[in-house]
Amino acid sequence: MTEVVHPTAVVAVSVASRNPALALLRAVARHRLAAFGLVIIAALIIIAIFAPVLAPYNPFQQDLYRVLAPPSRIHLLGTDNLGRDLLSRLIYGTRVSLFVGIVSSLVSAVIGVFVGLVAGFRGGMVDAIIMRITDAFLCFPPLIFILAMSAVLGPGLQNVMLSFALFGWTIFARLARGQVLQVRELPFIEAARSVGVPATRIMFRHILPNIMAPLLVAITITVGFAILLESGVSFLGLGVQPPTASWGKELRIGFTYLEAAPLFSIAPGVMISLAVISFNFVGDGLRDALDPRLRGANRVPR
Amino acid sequence: MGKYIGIRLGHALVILAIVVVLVFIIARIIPGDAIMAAMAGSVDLHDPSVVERVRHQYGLDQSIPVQFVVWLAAFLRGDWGTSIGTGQKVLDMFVQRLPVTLELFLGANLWAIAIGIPAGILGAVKRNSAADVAVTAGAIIGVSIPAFWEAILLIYLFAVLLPIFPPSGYVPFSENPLLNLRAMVLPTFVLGTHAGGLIARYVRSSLLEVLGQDYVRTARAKGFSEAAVVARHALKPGMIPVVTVFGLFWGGLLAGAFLVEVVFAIPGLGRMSVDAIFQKDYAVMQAMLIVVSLNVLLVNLLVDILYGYLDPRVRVRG
Repeated sequence: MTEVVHPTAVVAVSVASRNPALALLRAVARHRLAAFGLVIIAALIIIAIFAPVLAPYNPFQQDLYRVLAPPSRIHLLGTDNLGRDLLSRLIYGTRVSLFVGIVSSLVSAVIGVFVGLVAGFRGGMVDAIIMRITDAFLCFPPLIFILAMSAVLGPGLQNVMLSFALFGWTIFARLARGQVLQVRELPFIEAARSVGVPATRIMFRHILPNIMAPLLVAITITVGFAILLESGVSFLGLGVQPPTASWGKELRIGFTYLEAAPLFSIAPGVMISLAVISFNFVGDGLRDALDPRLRGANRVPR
Repeated sequence: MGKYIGIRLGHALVILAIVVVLVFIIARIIPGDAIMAAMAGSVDLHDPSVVERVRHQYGLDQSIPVQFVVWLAAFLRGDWGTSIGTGQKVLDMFVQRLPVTLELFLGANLWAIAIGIPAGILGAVKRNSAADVAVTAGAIIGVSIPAFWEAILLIYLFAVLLPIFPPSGYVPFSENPLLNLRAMVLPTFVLGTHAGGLIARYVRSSLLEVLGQDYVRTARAKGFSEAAVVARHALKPGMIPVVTVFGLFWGGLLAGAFLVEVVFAIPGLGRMSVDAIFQKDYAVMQAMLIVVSLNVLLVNLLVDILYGYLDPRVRVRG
């Protein structure tokens, strides 16, 4: 079976280029808000990777003679309640948040897409059962579900990610199923079926590539969502455990000292917000770039 | 329409059954014997006969399916168990705290509508202008920044720097209406801006779609002013899909209320549930999960039916 190319493939991007990934990147960069998001995300990734180089201090080094110090040339953002350098802790916190966000989102996507593909492709009873289970999960507000699961599983980062994945798969299952239903009846699938291509091969080789565009949008937005939820869970005290630095956790401690050291509450929140907003901006830009119905009007290429 | 409602109702019942089983399973994966752990302080767990008695009292010596049926029957009777945190009946705790969260909810909805709908209309009408970018960016920022951080910022600005509102606390409306409203301004605003961002995005995209329709072009061609076209022809059909957002943000508002109630020390359902999670108060947690999900389920059902009523095309698609 050779590569089947069909005219309604959604993956096509407005810019004619030999490299679709590069073309996509260019289309996203043209979107004002998405370009901003891309820059911030790139900066956060660099900060996370080079945290030991960039952090001016050891994030765990306590200095009990200098607790809650105001910002100064020595400690740019001041120190926390144990005299640890706040800037260094926020830099290390980037690692936690990005890791949780990306891993939770990808695990959810893998499970969800698989379930959604099966439901959409098989149809009938299998589909009905899977979709009702998905609907049932979606009755729980995510934060509440994750809090309850974290309480049951115990605190800790792995459990936050596990709780997120236990919920997150439903988002992707719904999305993948909806997409499959649209693609399933197209002639090229019928053709593949008629020449005897096995069902699993049709699912992964022919249907999956055609639903990649909306998936990419959903994954991007879910990363931001997972970061937001992790910060909420950590803020309530069920996420990372001390002495690990996490933005939500820092914010929690900072809130106790709001009057004495406002920056201790403000700075971690800026980090969380920047990260979540950036992923949402990029997701929004991707959607506009990939959705052929929205093309035209304002963003005529060239 | 009858058939459409029937199908929706059937789905909702199936989903409800799965939700109830899910909640039961979540309560069952708790490591160790939750009740035993909770009782450890008050009874001697080294005495096997005491352990046996406690297990029997809570039905833990029965098979899982039997336990499920017993639990469900009791729940339906209104016997939601006793909280190990407060010693109160769980149902009473919910009834007591419901009005507080309800007030928070109503206030948040008012802010959300007051901010979200005008912003969405502005974005659609002035498409691609600086105002539109501001609306889109503002809406994304509104749904992206953590509610608890927004709450902390507002406390710092309007309670610490400019002491206009109290930093936290709650006064019942019946006790002192003025103090009650003053204490609720910041919490409802925090919740409302999040929902408002969501509404603005939906209003904008829905209105944009309507503005591209032929009959809107006809209205324009007849020489109506743009304001008249929007107000008389586009606004009403443009609002229909917005109905669905209410179903979407209902659950989000509930979750937001959890964090906001903690930050502002408001004694509502959210605070109670967070306390229950920390005290491993499983009776309260279980009841909370059921109440919250039932709430979302009912709102979604209502939205589906309302949507089918407003837009007949939906009924055919099922």
